[in-house]
Amino acid sequence: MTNNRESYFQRQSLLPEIGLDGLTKLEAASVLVVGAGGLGSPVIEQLSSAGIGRVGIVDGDTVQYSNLHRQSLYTESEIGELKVLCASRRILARNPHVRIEVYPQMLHQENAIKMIESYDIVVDCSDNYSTRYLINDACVKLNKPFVYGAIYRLQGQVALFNIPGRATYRCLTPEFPDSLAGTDCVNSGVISLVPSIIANLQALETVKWIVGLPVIEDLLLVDLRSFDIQKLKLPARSTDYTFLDHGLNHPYYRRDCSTTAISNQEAMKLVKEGKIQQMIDVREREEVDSDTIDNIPLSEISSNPSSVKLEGNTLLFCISGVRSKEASSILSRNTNAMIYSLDEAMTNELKELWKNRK
Amino acid sequence: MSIEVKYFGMIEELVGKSSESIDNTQFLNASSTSKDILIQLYPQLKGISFQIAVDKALNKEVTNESKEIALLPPFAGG
Repeated sequence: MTNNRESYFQRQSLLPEIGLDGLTKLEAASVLVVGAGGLGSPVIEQLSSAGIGRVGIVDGDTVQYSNLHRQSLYTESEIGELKVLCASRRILARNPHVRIEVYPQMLHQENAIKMIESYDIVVDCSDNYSTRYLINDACVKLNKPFVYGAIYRLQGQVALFNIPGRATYRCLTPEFPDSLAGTDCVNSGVISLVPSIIANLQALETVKWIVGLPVIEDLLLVDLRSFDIQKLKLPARSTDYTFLDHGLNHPYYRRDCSTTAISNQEAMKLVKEGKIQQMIDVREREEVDSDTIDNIPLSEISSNPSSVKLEGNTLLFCISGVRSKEASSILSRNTNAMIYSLDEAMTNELKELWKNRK
Repeated sequence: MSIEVKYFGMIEELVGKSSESIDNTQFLNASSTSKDILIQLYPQLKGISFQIAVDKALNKEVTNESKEIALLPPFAGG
């Protein structure tokens, strides 16, 4: 038995649409996957299985217990470890013929161009609008296509953006969505099947694009409750991208929907709904008299942000909301969880509610 | 004439139904855009980001021949 690349992919190259020629194209190709969560896990798995030569993975998050039900690359023993490292280990164990490159950080405007420029195509597996605008604009600037995918409960969308002359993400979503409540997985819920299905469609279009098969030109809208599957014709490319002449800099990249200032009343509602897993008092140690709530001072958070292990959606508080806001903007860079900042002093009512919940 | 209206994503919850058939004349007689007419019908959509697709083409206006409108909010999950 031979264990070279050709015999590994022997069944796949029998497929007339792929063939040995397709296998060669796949080996020469490179794909950057942004996000290694619900969409990213199956995308990374499928792209590697399809014989892509080089797969890059961008994600600054660590494995959480609540990820495991839908993020098949990770195991319980890996909780707290960087997702990109676990993903790379898992993929290489199954497929020795792929080169995995890992970036243990979130995509932001300072690193986006450098990361994306050495890949042929980007797959958007992010879970927020800021990252999608950033991927889009970086791809427009670099003339790279990107495969968009997003889900809402039992519905999903897939599109290939920035193919020369065709629509971009901004042509579909020109304005930063105003209403964020309930549109992400953290708040609206998700069953593993849905991101898996959408992710597999994203990976399929990526492979088709690489081997030169026709790719989807429309926005694919899938409702998995009724199997109402529609192809919606995207608007003509219309966005004026001259703002990119001055570099990759746009307020949408910083409109961080994972950081939110909330009141005591809103916080109580979230605690009652079980949407907050952790509370951190960011005041300095000498200011804190109670040991009932975790205390990590802002000074420690800012000097060593990666030492703070978040257990999920987190509420930060101080006296007025000033320091907690600062802490939330630091911590949100390295997590996909919601980071809330209490914008006033904490009431006893909220404190009691939290203590009794524990 | 009636037109089929489909509501996707969180818009389905905001209007309380996934689809309905409505009279198309209100779209044709008005000088407002199709999107504005939909907001007049469902004031809870005011301030909500969404696109419309008319007969499976995004960002079009309803005409006398149109058979279907889909209301599509952006999806964020991944």
